[in-house]
Amino acid sequence: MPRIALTRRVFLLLTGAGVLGALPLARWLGHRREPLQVLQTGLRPSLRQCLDTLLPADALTPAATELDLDTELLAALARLPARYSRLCLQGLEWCEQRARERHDRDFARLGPAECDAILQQAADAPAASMPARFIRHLRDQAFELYYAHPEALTGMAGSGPPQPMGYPRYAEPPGEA
Amino acid sequence: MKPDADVDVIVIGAGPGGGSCAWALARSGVRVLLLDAGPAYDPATDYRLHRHDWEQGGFPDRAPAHDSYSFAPLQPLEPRWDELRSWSHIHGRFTRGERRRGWRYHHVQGIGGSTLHFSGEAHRLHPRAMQLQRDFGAAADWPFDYAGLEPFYEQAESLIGVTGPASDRSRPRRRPYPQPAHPPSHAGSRLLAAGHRLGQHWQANSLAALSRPHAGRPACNYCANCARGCPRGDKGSADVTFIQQARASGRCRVLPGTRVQRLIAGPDHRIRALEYIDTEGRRGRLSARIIVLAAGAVQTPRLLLLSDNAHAPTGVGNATGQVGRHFMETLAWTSSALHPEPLGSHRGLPMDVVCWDYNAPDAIDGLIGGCRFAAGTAEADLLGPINYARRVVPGWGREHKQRLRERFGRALSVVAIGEFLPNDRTYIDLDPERTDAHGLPLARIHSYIDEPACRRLQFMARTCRELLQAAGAGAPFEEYGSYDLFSATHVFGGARLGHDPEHSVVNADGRVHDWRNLYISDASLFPSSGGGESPSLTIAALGIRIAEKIRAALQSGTDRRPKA
Repeated sequence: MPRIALTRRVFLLLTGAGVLGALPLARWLGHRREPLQVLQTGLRPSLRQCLDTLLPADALTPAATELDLDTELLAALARLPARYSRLCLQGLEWCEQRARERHDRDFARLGPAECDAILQQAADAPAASMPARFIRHLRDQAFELYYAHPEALTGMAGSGPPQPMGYPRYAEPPGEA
Repeated sequence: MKPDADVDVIVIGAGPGGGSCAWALARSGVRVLLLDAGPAYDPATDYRLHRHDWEQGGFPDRAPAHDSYSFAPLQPLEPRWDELRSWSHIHGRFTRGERRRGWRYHHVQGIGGSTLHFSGEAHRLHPRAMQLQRDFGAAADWPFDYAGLEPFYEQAESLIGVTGPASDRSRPRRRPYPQPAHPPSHAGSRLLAAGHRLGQHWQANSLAALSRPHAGRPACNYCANCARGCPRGDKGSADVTFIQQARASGRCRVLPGTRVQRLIAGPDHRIRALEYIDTEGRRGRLSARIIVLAAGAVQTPRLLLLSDNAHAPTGVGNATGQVGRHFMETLAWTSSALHPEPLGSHRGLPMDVVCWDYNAPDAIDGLIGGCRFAAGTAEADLLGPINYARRVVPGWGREHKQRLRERFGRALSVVAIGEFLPNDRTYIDLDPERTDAHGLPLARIHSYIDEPACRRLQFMARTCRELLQAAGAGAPFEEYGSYDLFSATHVFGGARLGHDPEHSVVNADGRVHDWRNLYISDASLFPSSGGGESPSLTIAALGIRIAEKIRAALQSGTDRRPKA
């Protein structure tokens, strides 16, 4: 039995959501629509840009949006408590503000290096701040969804489903198994 | 109320304690009704290890138990123990506040109970861990010794098909393990060698995962994901072992989705009936000559306390205020680091190699209470690309993808589990404010890590780090433990065994003091936790032992005689 289990769900809540309850609800009263609706429409290009910054295409694997990860992420958010959607909305608005301040353009129109710098600024913010919590949560969610696609596993031997085959040559070095 | 005509014994809870007791009763001709609040899982359809999204969840729990307990405020954290704070190189500290955090009691409700998500460790207790009061003035003694429990260990091991080493110096054994040990994994071999370099003795772990086909179950194929539910049935969870055999006897009926809400205490020191609610919201009463409570060390005390009435004004079995006392959680530590070579460490059995050198109660210098070490990569859930992407490789982008490919399979974890000695600040009571969906007070967990426990944790953490270093791994990238986080599966006590009703709830036969027909068969009985042993095999052995006592009571009619 896992004595101190660190499952995906536990880890998500330990690292991403443990302090989400402190989000000032009053800030959201100004939104006439639900956060999820805003994410699905007005901020969808920003979300796609964020996901492709975290998970760009490379020689072996596709970009996040090639796998329709934005749709999956929104579906996942719909299953979670509303505070997750609120955090995502708040974080994307923060990215938009940084994009306009630095480059006078929408976040979705920035180049990869410019997007990366803004997300890095979020990650470097104090751990309990909204931008830091946003990028932690988005990163965790994006990786969780992306690496559930077989297309994402090219070049990573043995990373597919563990059953039905198992690993009968588990005692040998991986290159020989 | 008359007992239901076709049932002699009702067992509440279908985990290893309830399941083993039901099996041992049914095989000897006793008619049993086995209830559980959770569902019956179908390994072929409920478990997800063949799917591409297999890693997105843990065990597919359809009846989470998290709405049935709460945490009292836990202790403030002290700077002097900062080396015991849980942390990750990516996410920082797990507990950001300055108070210990109550996270989870990882308990599975359902037919099979928490063995559905266990790693399959099948340990006997260290004989001296059962006599801590006599030898060290700590905890309490078990009312019988290791030799008294060994015949029941043997029965449980035989039915499950436990594997273990040909020469096991950690425990006295009258007979060999029923099945040969699994060869260590490639990653486990690195820890074996590291341990030897440090002068430690490591060996194959004893596991409830078949190395040979047994009783219609196949041998393990080493997918490493026991905690997500074994779809093959090679893991010896209670559903495919004890409960399956109990049903096959034709004398055990199993009712999933039946949540017992209270016991009805009568004026004659007997439990007259139990009240339940099923998943459709239907309520009812059931009765039998004997009731066995096997709901685990949190829910068993809760149910006893919820069952107060005029005949049990402070709760059933609680005349001396002992229900919920002497609760013990798990003292645990895990360190993880990357190895420079590919290990394929996502393969093999969890906890496949173990070190018992520090398991005896006096094995750690200056402390009472032991611990043990084991390979912990599967326990840390570093088994697939999602956890590597999130927890092992920092950053994002193309470089992250490339590093992930390079590092997958190189994580090496060591886990340490240690003795938790009971203390006055660790107990279960009823939450005065919070209730479940049916309006019943939650079980409230109080737990306190005292100074000796911190020192034991410190020894465990430092030794885990030494082992990783000796194995050639780099500096840890993630460590977590019990000091700042309650996140335990193994919990003990709350209705402990003992001869003296002033200091225990249950007698040596497993019967609740003063109650003629109420028995307990789960980890709430434990007077001491052991020095890091996983408890499921001991729980099962206790269940079989208690079944013998119940059978004797049924035959002699002692359950019906007036209290002397």
